Amino acid sequence: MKAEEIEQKREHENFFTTSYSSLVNWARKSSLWPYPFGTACCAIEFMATVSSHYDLARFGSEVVRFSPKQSDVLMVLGTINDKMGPVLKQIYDQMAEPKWVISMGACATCGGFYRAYHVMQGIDEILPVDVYIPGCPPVPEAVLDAIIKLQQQVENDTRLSYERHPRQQRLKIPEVDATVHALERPPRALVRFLEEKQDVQGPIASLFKERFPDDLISMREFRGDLSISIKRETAKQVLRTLKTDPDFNFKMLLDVTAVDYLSERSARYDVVYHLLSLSNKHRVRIKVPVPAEDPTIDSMFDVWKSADWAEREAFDMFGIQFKGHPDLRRILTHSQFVGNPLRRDFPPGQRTLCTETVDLPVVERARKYAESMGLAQPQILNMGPQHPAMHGTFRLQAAVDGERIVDADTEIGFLHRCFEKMSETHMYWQVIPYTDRLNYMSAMMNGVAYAMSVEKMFGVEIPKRAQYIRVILSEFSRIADHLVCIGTNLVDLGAISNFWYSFRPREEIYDLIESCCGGRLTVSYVRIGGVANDVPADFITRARALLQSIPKYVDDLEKLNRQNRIFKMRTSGITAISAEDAIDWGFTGPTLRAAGVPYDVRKWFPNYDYDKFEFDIPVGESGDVFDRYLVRMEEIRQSLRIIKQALENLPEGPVQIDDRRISLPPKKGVYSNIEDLMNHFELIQDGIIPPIGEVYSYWEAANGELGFYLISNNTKRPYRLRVRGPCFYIFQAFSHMVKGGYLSDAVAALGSLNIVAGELEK
Amino acid sequence: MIEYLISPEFLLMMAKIVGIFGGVMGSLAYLTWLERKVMARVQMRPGPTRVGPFGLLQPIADGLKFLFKEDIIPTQANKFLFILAPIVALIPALLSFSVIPFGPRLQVADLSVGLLFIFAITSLGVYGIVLGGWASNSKYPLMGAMRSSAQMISYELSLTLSVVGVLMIANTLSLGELVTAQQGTWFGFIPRWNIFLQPVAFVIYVVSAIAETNRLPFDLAESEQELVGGWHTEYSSMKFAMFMLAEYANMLTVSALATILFLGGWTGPAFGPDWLRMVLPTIWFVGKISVFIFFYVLLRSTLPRFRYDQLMKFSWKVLLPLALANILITSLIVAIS
Repeated sequence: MKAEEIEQKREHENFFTTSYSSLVNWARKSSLWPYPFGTACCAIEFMATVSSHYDLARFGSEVVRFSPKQSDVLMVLGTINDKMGPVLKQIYDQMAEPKWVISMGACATCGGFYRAYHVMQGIDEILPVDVYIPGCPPVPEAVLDAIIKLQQQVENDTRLSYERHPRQQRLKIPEVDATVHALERPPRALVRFLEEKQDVQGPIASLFKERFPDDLISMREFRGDLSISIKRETAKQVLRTLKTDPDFNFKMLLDVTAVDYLSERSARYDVVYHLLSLSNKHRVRIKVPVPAEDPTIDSMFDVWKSADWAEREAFDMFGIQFKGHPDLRRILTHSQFVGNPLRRDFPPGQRTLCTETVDLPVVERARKYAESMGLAQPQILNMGPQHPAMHGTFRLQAAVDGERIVDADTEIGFLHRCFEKMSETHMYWQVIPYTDRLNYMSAMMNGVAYAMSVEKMFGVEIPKRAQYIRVILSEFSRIADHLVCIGTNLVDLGAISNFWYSFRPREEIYDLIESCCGGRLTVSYVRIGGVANDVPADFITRARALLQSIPKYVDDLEKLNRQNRIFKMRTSGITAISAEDAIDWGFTGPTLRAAGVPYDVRKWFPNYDYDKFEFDIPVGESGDVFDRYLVRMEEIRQSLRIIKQALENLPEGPVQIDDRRISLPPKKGVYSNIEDLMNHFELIQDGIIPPIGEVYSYWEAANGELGFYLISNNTKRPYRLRVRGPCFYIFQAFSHMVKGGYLSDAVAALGSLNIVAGELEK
Repeated sequence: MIEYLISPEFLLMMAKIVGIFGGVMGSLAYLTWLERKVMARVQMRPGPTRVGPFGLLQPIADGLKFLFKEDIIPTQANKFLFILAPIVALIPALLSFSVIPFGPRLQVADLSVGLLFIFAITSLGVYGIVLGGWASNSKYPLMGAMRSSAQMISYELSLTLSVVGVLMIANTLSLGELVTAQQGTWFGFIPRWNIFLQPVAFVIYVVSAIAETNRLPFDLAESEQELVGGWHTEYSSMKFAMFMLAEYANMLTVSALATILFLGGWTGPAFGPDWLRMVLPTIWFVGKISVFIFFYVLLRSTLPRFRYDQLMKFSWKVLLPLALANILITSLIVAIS
């Protein structure tokens, strides 16, 4: 048959020609099973792509396989840092040919706006990529588009062998110095401000002066924050007294960090402790100067357990040695990292490439124990960082006896994106997008907490309407966050449908947030001094409609699970924690309230009219997984109550503060008079410049107290911005909580703690 | 010999084998489609729609893809057992269909010990899982295999014991006879199905059957969120697909058995012209099986998973005593009447 004849036949007689390769390619493209290498925000948008609004299943790609051997597309979702690099490479190498790689989001593609010391500047440094998805994070439609693009690529593939085109195998040369801005030296003025002696009055200050006259160096109060400098030699005794003495009763150590003043001060570093007394509702900041030549200080681990990881972080970031710390290792950066990145003289983008993953101390511990008892070699099980229950970024190494965990250690840092260093190199308003990516489940709240800290530095109060908008959207974010937590926790328990039931209302909340600012996940809606723009005209109607629909979804979830015997068996009594232990470990938020402590910033230290809203703080009894579930469920309902009241009382007025140091002048003025024009120019060029000072501001985020410790030296960039992510303190207790339990319990517990890597690892 | 090979009995037999095997394999493939579709509807989404109308070509695409996927055998694995395991899992699962009566005469072999044959053959399947997990020489598969062997052995006990009551009533082990014994009705409207005589046994059977087939809430051996992929974590391409096929085949077997033992097999109202009377029993049978399959899929999309120790407790402390009590009571009643 001649070619034309075939052509003719095909046209007139439905004659069907095909070839072997097009059949194979059709099968391959129709059945692209993803391996979701999820690490950060993009993973959440990928989850949204799988959820009912978008449904990746339509393309036959919903069969998510966590075994690299059974999957076809490696979807890299989110930032890959140097520590994660070897893991990613290993997963890629284990995949069966033919395999494809989709790089989702700016971070995976090129490092995104993390031009930082620990972030890989694009995964094509280590593996070839087939489709890049732009966006930060890309919307679900973009993910679907990438799948279609990949399908086209597979369809047009003419080779049946697994070989790749040379073009596809070429890798980028690693960019080891990603520095964009260098850091400036601290001015004398900041140091002078910090060293200035002030006579502070007040209950804690007077009591402190009376008790520890010899240990006190200086004391000052700024914007209501009491900060006390004490001598290094007796710091431990003083702090221990502060905890145990009933007059002080600082039972909770919120945060430990350090600040570097280079050679501008005789003692180069300050180790900073933030303490909270739950009984007296007092807060205090203790600072201990540490000289550069001997950067050591006593570890506070035996006073507060919460000092454990925070001290390791200060060691990692500043090189401060904590004497007596049981396990002083690097925590966020990888094992081959050189230098202490948060020191002021460390170039922000200086990377050290990582080629290895290391065993955690538990391996050695278990081996020694087995030897001493004359037992066989212990069975070590490595879970993560790429393990379906470990949220893609945590690593649990456990010595197991059958199904029981005998001993365990956790490792973090697989998503360390250098938030604090990045804030030091960016202007105040440029930090807001970075804050969105801390807890990306409820990005709005991070922005609010950060803006509050700068506003506190200025000592200003934002307009009522802006406050109410912040409250409403924050509470919606809290609901969204809790829903994700509950949904994924239940998926970890095996009840998969709950994922879709909990993502559906979340998607509706996103619609509302999107209508306000255009962003779904990372909103960047908050501005210092208010919010970016007013809410749309139909905001109240939309929000009211949500108030109607969310309870239905929540009730559905409740009906499906609350009385479920298996759910109860799997959750009640699992990783229960007492109130004392929870406080000692620095728990805040729903996990602390599940343990029976009614601490909630919104009630205890209310701002933004939270004292005028009527709402209750749900409290659990035993602090187990079931109680955490109940507390979160109830908090969703309480948030709805708050939103309802806030909507009723939503005042009219501006949404930006009328302060020319912070907000842009009105456009009319810019076009008509020179003062406003200059003002506009300065604000755009130099940004917001707060006065010299230091503040710690806090806000009840979805996971607990989200604190920002900000030091300003009267320049356009923060001198130091420390974020106290609630997860960090919760997750450090994890390896202790799971000991003695079953492997499945660890999985159930991790989901219930709602650890968000962006916030945990900054 | 030649005469036998061209004799009508032999050809009929061959036709039956080919028909049943083809039908079973086809339905296995479309079980995955059904599961994906039903679960999607439960989860408020459409499920596969792009590959063929209603996504009907999805299983074919998946199967073809697996055929052309690289087959990885880990270097640390025990090669012989690693290759053997999926075969051991799949073949017994398929063999059991040889004795299942799909209709009055639609049965490859009506063994007088058909039920025992099925139990014997299906319990071989656990070797596939255990060997697969062990031969992979990797920790997650090993844990999956451990869980699975413990689970399947425990639940096989209650599964087998739950059937004893039915056997005492029917006095036969042949599956064909078990079905014919359930023909007819009581009082003219209640079908003479064993489910009405043995409700407790039915419940025990269904629960144990889910556990036997490693389905949620008893899918501990696979438990994606804990053990990544369980015993088949290290398997790729067609070997992995064979494990999956075996799992679905087992699901079909236990559902078919439940239908035969408790729901009267292919019995059901017969009406209409002759050809319809020929086909109807098979339709009833397939319909009854589908109810079970549908139930399993719904369970999978609703319930959380048990924990290992809870699962064992449930088997030994609840199901087994219940099954024994059921046998005792049934035998007493049988003895008295």
